[in-house]
Amino acid sequence: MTPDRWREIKQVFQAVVELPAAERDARLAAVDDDTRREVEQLLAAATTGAADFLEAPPLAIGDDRIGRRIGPWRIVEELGRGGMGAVYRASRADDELRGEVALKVVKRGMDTDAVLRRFRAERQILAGLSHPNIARLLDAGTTDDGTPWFAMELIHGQPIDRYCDRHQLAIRARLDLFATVCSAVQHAHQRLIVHRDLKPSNILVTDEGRPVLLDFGIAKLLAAEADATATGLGLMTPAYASPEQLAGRPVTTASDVYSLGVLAYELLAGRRPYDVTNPEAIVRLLERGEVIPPSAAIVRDGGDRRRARRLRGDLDAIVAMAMRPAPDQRYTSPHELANDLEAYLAGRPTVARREGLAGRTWKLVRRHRVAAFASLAVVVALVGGIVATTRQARIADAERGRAERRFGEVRQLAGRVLFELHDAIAELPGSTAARIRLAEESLSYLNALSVDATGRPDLLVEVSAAWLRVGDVQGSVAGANLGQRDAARTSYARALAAAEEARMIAPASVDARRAVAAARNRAGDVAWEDDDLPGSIVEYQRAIALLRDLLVDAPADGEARHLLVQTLVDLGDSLSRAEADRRRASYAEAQALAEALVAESPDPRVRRTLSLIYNRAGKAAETAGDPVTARARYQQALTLREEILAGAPTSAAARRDVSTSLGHLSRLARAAGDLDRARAASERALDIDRAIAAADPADVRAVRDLATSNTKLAEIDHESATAAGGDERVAYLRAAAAGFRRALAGWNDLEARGGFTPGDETFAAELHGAIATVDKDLAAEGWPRP
Amino acid sequence: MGEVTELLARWRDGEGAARDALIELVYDELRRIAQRQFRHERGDHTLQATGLVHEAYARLVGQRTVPAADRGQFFAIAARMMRRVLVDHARARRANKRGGGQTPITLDDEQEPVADGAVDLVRLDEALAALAALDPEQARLVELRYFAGLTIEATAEVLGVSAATVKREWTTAKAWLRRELARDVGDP
Repeated sequence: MTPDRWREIKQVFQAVVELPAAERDARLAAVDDDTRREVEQLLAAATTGAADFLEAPPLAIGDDRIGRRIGPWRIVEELGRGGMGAVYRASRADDELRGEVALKVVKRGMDTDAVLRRFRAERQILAGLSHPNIARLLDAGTTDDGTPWFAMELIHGQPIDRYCDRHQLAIRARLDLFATVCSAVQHAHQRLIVHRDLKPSNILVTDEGRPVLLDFGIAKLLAAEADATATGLGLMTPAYASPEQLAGRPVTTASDVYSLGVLAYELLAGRRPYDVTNPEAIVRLLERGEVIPPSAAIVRDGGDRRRARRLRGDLDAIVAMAMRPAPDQRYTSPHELANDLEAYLAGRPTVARREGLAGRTWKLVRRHRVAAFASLAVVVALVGGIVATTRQARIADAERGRAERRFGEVRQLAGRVLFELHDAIAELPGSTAARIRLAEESLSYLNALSVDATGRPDLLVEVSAAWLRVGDVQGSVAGANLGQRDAARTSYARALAAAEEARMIAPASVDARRAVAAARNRAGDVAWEDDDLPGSIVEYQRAIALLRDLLVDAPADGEARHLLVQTLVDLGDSLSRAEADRRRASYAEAQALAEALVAESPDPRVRRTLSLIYNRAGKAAETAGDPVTARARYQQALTLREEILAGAPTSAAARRDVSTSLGHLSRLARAAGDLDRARAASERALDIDRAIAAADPADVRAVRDLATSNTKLAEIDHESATAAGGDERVAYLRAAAAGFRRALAGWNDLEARGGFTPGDETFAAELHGAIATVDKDLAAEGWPRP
Repeated sequence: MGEVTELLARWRDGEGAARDALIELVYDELRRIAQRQFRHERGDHTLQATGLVHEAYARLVGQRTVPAADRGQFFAIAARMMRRVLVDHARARRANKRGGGQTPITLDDEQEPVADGAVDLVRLDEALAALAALDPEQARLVELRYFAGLTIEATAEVLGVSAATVKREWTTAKAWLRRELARDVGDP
């Protein structure tokens, strides 16, 4: 068969394959016999018994336990698996008894002595428990090959957090469920058993509303145990673990009380007390008292205000007392915790409130703040402290006016610290640690401020801007950042929530609308980063629509205009090649707007943005084979950058921008054969890069830049040598030889500092090759190896 | 690390040697992953080819997701690799059964890739080669769908055609291959 013949057959087959039999026959009657025979064979192959053909992946290692018999049970399906064991749904194999169980078996290949010991311990623990809210042990045994197993009551239910949300349970119903869980944990504690892994997925609630505690897989018998440390943190869930568990210290029943506190927090606030899952980060948060109370968490996330009000006071205090960092300051038992909740529900005074411990869990930090950190952090810490004091002062009506004034001053100071100080240190060598501190300190300040900002659009806008800023520092798409991308996402989401709230309260406010647009812009960046180009386009377009709308009301708003320019560029970057027209239009509009803005305002940021637009245009022209336009655009970018540098002669960033632009121009000139012009630009770029590297020996990026500039200039010299003769030729060759060697020294330096990125080895190898070539050329001119 | 990105770029620039180097690289990595998973976590989970492919990518490039620009190219390579790994393994087993000499180690020996039903991977591979001569696009599609385990939608994205087209071509290719395999059995 030939490809052409196959195409004919294929066409007929595809035309008829979906048709009903009668129509199909009618169609086939119209084609020649040979084709018909072929198509009929294919149709037969496509229908009878072909449903599964090639539909399952060729590589599928299934679980060979399914369908097997273990004891009197037959395995039906897998329900889940943990670190050591798999849990299956199983039914009676002998039909003597009906009903199903959850059957747990040690995982294949995990049957080491330690695991087996652990497994038997769990069985032992379950056997000692008998409580309506703990899954019962029903049967146990050992398989023929010696693997132990046991069967538990099979619970049909949902994790407690999901159950509460699905049924939209009110606070009271949640507390009732939670109290029942406490009683089950209490039962275990009375038998000297600590669960050690209390979390929603281990507490299922049946359709009848009965919560059942599962998985004592890492539970511990307090009496026995030599392997206490061996089953510690590695197996548990950090988000619910107590500080002593996280620190690897001895675990007691108080550890379960802490986990119950986290659970209560989550059931009440609808979120966990902290987003971080890294144990060290959690401990740090706790030690610094930066966990905010459930009521404040609701407010910050823009949740139900009424619910937040109900939590404020007793419930905040009760959760706080369960979550006290020091075990001996928590409730002494789950029972006591449940009692305090009951007291609250009955309207009696609670222990937690009376002892006033809440404040100490949530805000312990303030007193310790002025520790021996960098002076920078101390400034921020002081600000945080003043904010807290001011908030308390605000409550007193008599001092209200004064407190408000002071609050305003503090806000301003804090804002300046966050914004200006960060910028000031961002370019400093070795400032990363300080910047991380700054971002973290700012977070606690912002958390506090967010609570205060409720219902005040002006403050909300400020909070939104600060969250954006923190997000940028943590992990913005553009520019230097700390690489904490997930943290940045959260910060951006909070910025958006605050901005949207401000806009809801004050729909006409220009500030609020601009804040929403800015947050949408970052949301677009995040989507872009995730490779979700359509998603980023949606966000950028939303931001653009908001800004256009805003500029009708406030046409002179420079911030909004700059943001619109940036977002148009971002949108252009997101549009695919298939939408080249829209992309060009987006860039063109951005350019026109930016040019108008530059003419009016001396703001260097706008100039830089415009220079970026010119560079894009230059690159596009260069690619399209239009060097004249390309040079004009690159030159425009360079002019703008030189203006910026003139205004900030010491700025390394501004100098580097100029060098980059010179590099573009040099490349273009070289491609056009204008080597003198290329060399002139390249020499200037090299001078700049050399100065930058000399100013900051710790700057690895500068080393790379300098090595690249050296290479480029040496290449130009080498090329010049080919066209020259005599002394001139030798001079060029010697310059090239020296340049390549300098470049190679730079690359070696970079490698020694661990600054290599993918592909860099290739550059180094190419340099060796270039040096060898130049040396050979020199030797041919009668010069010895330099 | 970064080698894969580099090779992808060089291949894109038309360097044929880069493609070969890439194939060797990915092949080795897939084999290593398969061996590790099979040896230590036997029966632990259903191993999907796409998961394997993604893991190979993650380990070679050091990032979790394949950037949009490289996706089509990468999956094409990955699918080809999966085909090679699996077919080599099937061939080795066949040689073993016949008492053949040295066996190239592909997957861990005690593991059998479970080919569905009666599909003989070695014969499928031969049939696929025949199909490629007639209709290279369809052969690529089969590699992506079957060996790389891509969904209809993902295949459509990689090939730059509509999902409807993929469905239609997939049905046709399967019919052709099934007929081809049946014919083999008939011909002793």
